[in-house]
Amino acid sequence: MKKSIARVAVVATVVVGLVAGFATTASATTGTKATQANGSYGPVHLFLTGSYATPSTSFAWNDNVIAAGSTSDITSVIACPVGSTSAATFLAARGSENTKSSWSAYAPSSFVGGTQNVSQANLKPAGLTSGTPGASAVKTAGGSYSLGVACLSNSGATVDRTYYRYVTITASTGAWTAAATDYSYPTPSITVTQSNANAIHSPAFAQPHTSDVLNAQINSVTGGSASDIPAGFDVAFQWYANGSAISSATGSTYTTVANDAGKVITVKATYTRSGYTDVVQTSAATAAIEGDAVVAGDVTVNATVLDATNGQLSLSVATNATANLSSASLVANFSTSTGSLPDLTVTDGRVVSQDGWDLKASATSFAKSNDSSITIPAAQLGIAPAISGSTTGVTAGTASTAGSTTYPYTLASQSAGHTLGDPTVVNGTLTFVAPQNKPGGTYTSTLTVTVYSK
Amino acid sequence: MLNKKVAAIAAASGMTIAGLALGITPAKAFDPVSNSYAIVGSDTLEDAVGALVNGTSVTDSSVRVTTSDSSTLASWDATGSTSIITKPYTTRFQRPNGSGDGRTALKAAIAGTNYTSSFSGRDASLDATPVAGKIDIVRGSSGGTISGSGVMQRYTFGRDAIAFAYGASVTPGANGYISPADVVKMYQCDSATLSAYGVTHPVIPQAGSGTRSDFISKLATASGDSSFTDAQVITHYTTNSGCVSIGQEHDASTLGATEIMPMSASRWIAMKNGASYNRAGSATLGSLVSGTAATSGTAPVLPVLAYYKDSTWGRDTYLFVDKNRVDSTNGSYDAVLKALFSYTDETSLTYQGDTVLGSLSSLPTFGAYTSAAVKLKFGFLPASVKDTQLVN
Repeated sequence: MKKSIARVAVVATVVVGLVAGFATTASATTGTKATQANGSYGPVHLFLTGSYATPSTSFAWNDNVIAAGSTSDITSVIACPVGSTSAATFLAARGSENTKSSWSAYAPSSFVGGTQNVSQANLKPAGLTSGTPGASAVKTAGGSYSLGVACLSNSGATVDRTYYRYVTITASTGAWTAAATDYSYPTPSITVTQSNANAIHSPAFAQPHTSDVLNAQINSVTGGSASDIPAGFDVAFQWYANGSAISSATGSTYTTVANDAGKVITVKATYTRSGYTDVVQTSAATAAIEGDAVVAGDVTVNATVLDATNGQLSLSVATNATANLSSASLVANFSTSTGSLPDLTVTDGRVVSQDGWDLKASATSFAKSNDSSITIPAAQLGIAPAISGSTTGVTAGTASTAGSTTYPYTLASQSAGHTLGDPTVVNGTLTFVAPQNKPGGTYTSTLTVTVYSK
Repeated sequence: MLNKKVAAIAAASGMTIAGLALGITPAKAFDPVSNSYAIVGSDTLEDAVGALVNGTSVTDSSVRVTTSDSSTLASWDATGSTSIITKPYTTRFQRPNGSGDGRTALKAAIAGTNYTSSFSGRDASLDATPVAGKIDIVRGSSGGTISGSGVMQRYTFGRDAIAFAYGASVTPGANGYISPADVVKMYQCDSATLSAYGVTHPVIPQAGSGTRSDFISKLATASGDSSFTDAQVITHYTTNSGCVSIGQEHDASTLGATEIMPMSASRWIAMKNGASYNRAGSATLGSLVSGTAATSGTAPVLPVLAYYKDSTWGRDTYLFVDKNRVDSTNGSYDAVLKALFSYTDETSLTYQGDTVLGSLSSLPTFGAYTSAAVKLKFGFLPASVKDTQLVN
């Protein structure tokens, strides 16, 4: 028995979503002036026992006070320029930060391997083991100093860059406090929330869909109130669908469109002020936007002939043949869409044996593209074959009803004893009925079409 | 370690290889001295303590234990030149090689008596040298003898575990396991057991090694063979030549294919992670606890909690100090020295996090800037207790 097999990929994009709840938040670092008013190249934030310490915190001389580039992340590094070869922690009279020979006390520090980044530098004044007059003398005298991290080169002799805070040290006890960084404000949060939930959806369908209004909320206020936006900063929004900026979608609200179906939406807030570092926040993504219809979309049928045998009996499908399942409608509240089975061409040149043939299809379950555990049985694809071309002795298979198709499914047969001068073309219509309880998304199945010699 | 071996060879060979003797002379030149306190003792802890006091970026942060009055510390390895000078304006004395040797030296320093190392390769010309004022802290992989009248106070440093390293031709069971009873038999030169595991030479570390004394005493306990003592092993070493041999603690670089030797899991981890220089050679780490390996992973290699928690083969490691100097009621009290042994200061010598070993259900994590994070990189977990026992 000879057979010829073709695989037909059936891709169904079903834009229905059932996932409920999507509003989450994202935070950003505190906005600070790019170069601090005190001359520090950038902000230095302090942590004590692993937690951010506000500027009012009083530190002991031997406290392990850790320097970071962010108020929210102790591992946020302090960046030295590429040319720097080493780093140091230092305590200096204000104004002497960039003159190593004037530092009151200092200690060597190190970079994260392979970088010029200083991570979690310990600014404990007692740990500054070098310098004149030295840490102990500073402790005794007290006063106003700068404490921070220096980037060095030229074997440690050249100060490339310094990051520091103004500190005030109490004589004798060594207790100290650090002045605030230039600008610091409560970290806002950015959230996407949804308005006007579409009435077509039952509660189980409560998630964004096309034509919904999405709101960018800073803290809990749409677009942010004056107190939510850092003083002196402007805020701008940009909306994204699957990570791609949506043209002209730059308002604090965004109304989803049909093209958003199946995509996740995010919004980015950018706070800007001349002379200050931008603060950029991006919200968490929504669930995939569902379409208005319960089931809609396209079924693409791609077929490639993998194995055509010796030319006596063969099967072919036009390269890149496609069929669209569209025009979904609700029939008894089931989404139903239809399309065409592409041409399957059977050529039987066996003029001597005249064996006849069967053309049969098998199919895998439709699997959701982003969650293959969610499947729709292949039985839901109804098939109504049709034949054309040379049809002598050929009969089309019995049409199946969506939901009850069984495989292998016979598309067409030719009885023995006939000789066909021309190919037989088998095509037909496809009907796809999605179960009501399946979430939206793109579903894919593969039809394997085989021609068997009788 | 290699320096030590060269020195030992030169000493044994005397004037006949004068060229080599001259060659090692620079190693006997003056080394730097401590700005504050001097630390000597155990080989097991030397890399972790050395990294902490010299400063290390092994955690990506910069961690250095310094004194509360802004001085740096200094820690001398167990091996190297045979003698050391630790403080400004002091004189040379024999380098303490190991935990027991270190405690002997500290007790001599406390008592104002003379010190002679128990290390066979010591420079005998420096036997009975005064060490008062030259030693402040001793690293210990063994805990010493707890005594209410002890002159030293000990603090836990972290949790280590004892396992063994074996050569390529040795054939242990799953996880590299060999039962303690069989290990004992091998060190007793039982030919059938040696043959069964493909071992020809069980190796023990040098005298004075804390790992050696721990290994032997724990094997005796675990195997139930109370005859198994250091003395018995040495008897096999001296009378059963060719069976037991002596090598430098934690140096498996020259371990033969058919040899086994005790090995600290922490040292092994530090070697394998590149935190310490690698003396693992081609050896593999075995297990003395049925059903679990001592370490896991390849890069990085991590401690296995179950092994470290084992009551026999896990071991707390210690730092020892003159009890009077850390007793605020004593006239010799030194608050700066005491501060180094804080269990709450995140950058003290003894910081191990808030949780003791028994409360851990998984490997802990620590801020990269803490001593505990450095210790973990060197294969040390938090100890079972935050100890302040007096020992002799």
